[in-house]
Amino acid sequence: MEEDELIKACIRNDRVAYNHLFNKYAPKMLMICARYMSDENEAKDVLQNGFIKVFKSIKKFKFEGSFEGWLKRIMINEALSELRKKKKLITRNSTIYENIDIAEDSVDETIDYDFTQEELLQTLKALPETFRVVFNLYCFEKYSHNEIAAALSIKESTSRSRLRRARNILKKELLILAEKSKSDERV
Amino acid sequence: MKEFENIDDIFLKGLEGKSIEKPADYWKDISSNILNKISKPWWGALITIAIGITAVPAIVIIVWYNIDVSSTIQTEPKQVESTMTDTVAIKKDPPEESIPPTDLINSAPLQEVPQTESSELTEKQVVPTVPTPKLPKLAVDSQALPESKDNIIVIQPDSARLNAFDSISTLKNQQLPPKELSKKKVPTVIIIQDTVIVTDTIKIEKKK
Repeated sequence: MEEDELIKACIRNDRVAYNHLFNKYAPKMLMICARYMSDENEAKDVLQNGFIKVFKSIKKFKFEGSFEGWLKRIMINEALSELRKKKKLITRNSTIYENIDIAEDSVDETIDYDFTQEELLQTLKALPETFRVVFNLYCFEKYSHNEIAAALSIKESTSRSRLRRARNILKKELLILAEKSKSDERV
Repeated sequence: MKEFENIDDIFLKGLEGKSIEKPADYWKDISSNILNKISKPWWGALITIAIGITAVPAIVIIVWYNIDVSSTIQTEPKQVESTMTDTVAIKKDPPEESIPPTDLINSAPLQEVPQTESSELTEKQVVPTVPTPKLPKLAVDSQALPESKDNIIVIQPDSARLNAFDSISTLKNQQLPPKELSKKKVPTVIIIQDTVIVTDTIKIEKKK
């Protein structure tokens, strides 16, 4: 069944179509949720709530843009809403990181290593949530700093600062990981 | 920012558009949770059916009852109207000097009509009275007014009132000798607009 037919079947409240659509997109959407949430169970909850919203409001889908894009936006919004709800955007860790001047400490070294998906995800999850959200929105969702500031109710300068710090932390973590992997390979 | 482009590329290449592989049970569990939350539970459907079963006959009964009642209500005004027209009909603005025959007025059980209601009456509306034996309508031709109608005073609003008084007093002066008039103690009917008052205590004094 084609995607449009599948969506129309979902609008008709067809349970089989719901299952098909879920199975088609859930693994990809779980990756998005996992990028934003630090805990796997939280990611699972966001995925579940996101799909409930998708199916409840599937009648609103206009068949104009891509369904996957629409689905992705709902998942991101759900993740942000969940983070806001839990007041995780302001955490002790991120406050500590924000107070450190990382600019001077930046690593001027390119990383040439093939990281696994799991390694990258774990590195991302190790970031403070405020940094991770900004990094995700900028890097993956291609948001501008202005849009990030509006979405998170922060200043544009804060968004820039968080992105820089997030990248710096990630770079350090990846360098460490790459070094460790290389040394493991040698042994 | 060039030093970070490498970082962005690493993450985009490794995670963008990628899926997380999980066992089938994992997806099945989430999927069933979602379907349970978006669809009504079986007892919800049962309640809906039960409400439908009870509501449909109830609506039919209500509709049937309403039709029955409305048809009854529709017949009532006709009955009332026919009763009214058979009894006393008083117009809102009776024509000047429309004086009903005394014998009929005296014999008819008249009732006082409130002033407030009278203003709302239209020309075709009829003042409700106690159902009585059939009486002719009170439309009276002023030209054919008999002499014995001296105990009826019609008071009309505004300028018409004065004319009515004048005409009655003129009648009295012309048709009855002053002595007879003062001695005679007959029930007097006063019609003020739509109100009919029967009294035997009013004294009519001769104008000097």
